[in-house]
Amino acid sequence: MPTTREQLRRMVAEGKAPSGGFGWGELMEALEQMEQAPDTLEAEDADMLVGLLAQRGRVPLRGQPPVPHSMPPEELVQYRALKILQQAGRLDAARTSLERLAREPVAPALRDLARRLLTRGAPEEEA
Amino acid sequence: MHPEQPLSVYSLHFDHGGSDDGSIPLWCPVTQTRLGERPEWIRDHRSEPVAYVRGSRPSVAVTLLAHHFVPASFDLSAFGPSLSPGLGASTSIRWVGPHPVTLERMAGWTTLEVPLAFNRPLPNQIGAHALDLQWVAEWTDAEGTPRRLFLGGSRHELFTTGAPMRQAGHGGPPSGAYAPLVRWSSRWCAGLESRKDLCDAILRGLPETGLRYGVPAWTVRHMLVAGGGMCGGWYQLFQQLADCQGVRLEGRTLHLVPADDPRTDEVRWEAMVAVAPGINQVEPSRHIRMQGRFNDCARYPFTPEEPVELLSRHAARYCFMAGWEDGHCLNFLEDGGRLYLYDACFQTQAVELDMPLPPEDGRPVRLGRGASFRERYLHPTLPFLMGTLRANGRLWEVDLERGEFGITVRTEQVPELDILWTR
Repeated sequence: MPTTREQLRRMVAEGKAPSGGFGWGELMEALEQMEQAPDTLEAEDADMLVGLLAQRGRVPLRGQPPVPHSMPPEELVQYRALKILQQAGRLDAARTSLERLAREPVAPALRDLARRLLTRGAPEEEA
Repeated sequence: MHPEQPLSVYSLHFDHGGSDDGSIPLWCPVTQTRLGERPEWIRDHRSEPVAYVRGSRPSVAVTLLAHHFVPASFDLSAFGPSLSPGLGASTSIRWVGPHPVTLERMAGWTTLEVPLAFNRPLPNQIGAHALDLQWVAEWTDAEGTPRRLFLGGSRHELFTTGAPMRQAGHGGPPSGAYAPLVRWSSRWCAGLESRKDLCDAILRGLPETGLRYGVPAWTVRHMLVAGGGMCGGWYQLFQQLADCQGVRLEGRTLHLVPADDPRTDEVRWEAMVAVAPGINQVEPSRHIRMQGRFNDCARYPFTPEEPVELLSRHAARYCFMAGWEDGHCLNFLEDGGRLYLYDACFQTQAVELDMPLPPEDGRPVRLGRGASFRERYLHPTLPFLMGTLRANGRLWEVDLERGEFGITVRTEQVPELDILWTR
């Protein structure tokens, strides 16, 4: 049984999402694992996160869609992907998405993060 | 149309972009188009509001429609009641003209080459006005007799705002503001001056919008179309309402910082919990509420070994999860050396705080019991903290997807809690 992380990699690389979609809790847990251990981030993980940003955080979900309070679910996925890439020093590949997020009317916190990362260009900075 | 009229005012265009006359571009949230792309007023066809910074002197682009037997040249004027309270509504003044006009054609449309400037400025205060104009042509005929022809009346919903807006503020239209926001804020803030009074009036007026808390929309435009939004939309809406009057607010998102205890598997805390239904809701919104059995702790702190009374309640509440992925969005106003918090979703009054504006740096801040932010805002607004805790011989876990809400503790009973702020 592939892990959520592996399923995410496959979805981005091959365009094949698991039938029925991802569980929101599992998706958040997979991102949290990467967030807690950015040093162990593999090249496929970084590619997957860049891919998630490129597809604007859209992930097929199953069950009741989540309703975060401060930003839409798709933007929350992008926010977390950016933070992981930043911590792992892999932001270079996400520059196109950063520029888009810095100018689009996304949640202020996400736009602010994108702008700061673009300005600093330093992946080791904590947001 | 009025075909019996030989000459009439056909259209009036205020936000014509031809001069810097203080006009504020108004936008329709439904179509995302600027009302001033076309004349705001077209006889018997269109009547859209217009807005100006207070004390501005508008100019209006005029198009006339001639049918038959009209003078080729005349002076054009518009009369209407004064909008200043001191002069009284019965006092008619000449708002426009006399302006010399020569028609391009005796039958058909003539648009005047240049917009006509008003003779006097608009009221120098915030307000929502109804401006009725009576348009007339005046000339002297071949016999030397003064003649006067009524060209029709026009009625305009006109707003005067407190100060220029920020250009292209976040989440707003490309310029100016959404028309409903200017209408609401200009009416609620009529005659007010101080920034604090303006923000207080906006907060008091919010229920009148009919917009509800707990609707899955996170932008102002989406809120206006969907009929409500989440706090991420509400704080932007409040910012834009204040910005309509030239007041800048600082938006912040409040996050709870969780602390895991690997020895006991406890987590303090997993969520901030609100019990109030939020603005324009009679019960917590079905879109986002957590419904089920909450275990409210009668006292705190306690050790895992000692028995503690848990009050099991079936309830619907809002849970703001700890960490970066969730939070509650608020606005702050700095005025006169004081800091005021505005929560558009759960509060009807500003909360004055003894603290500086929190930096949006994402760094944890520890709040002790006496912190004014806790006592004046957190305790009444987010009265519970939800945690995974050990009590009465077992671990009470939080798993929202399975409807397990751990143990809920009164926020005021918690000695210290860690939060952080982002924008």
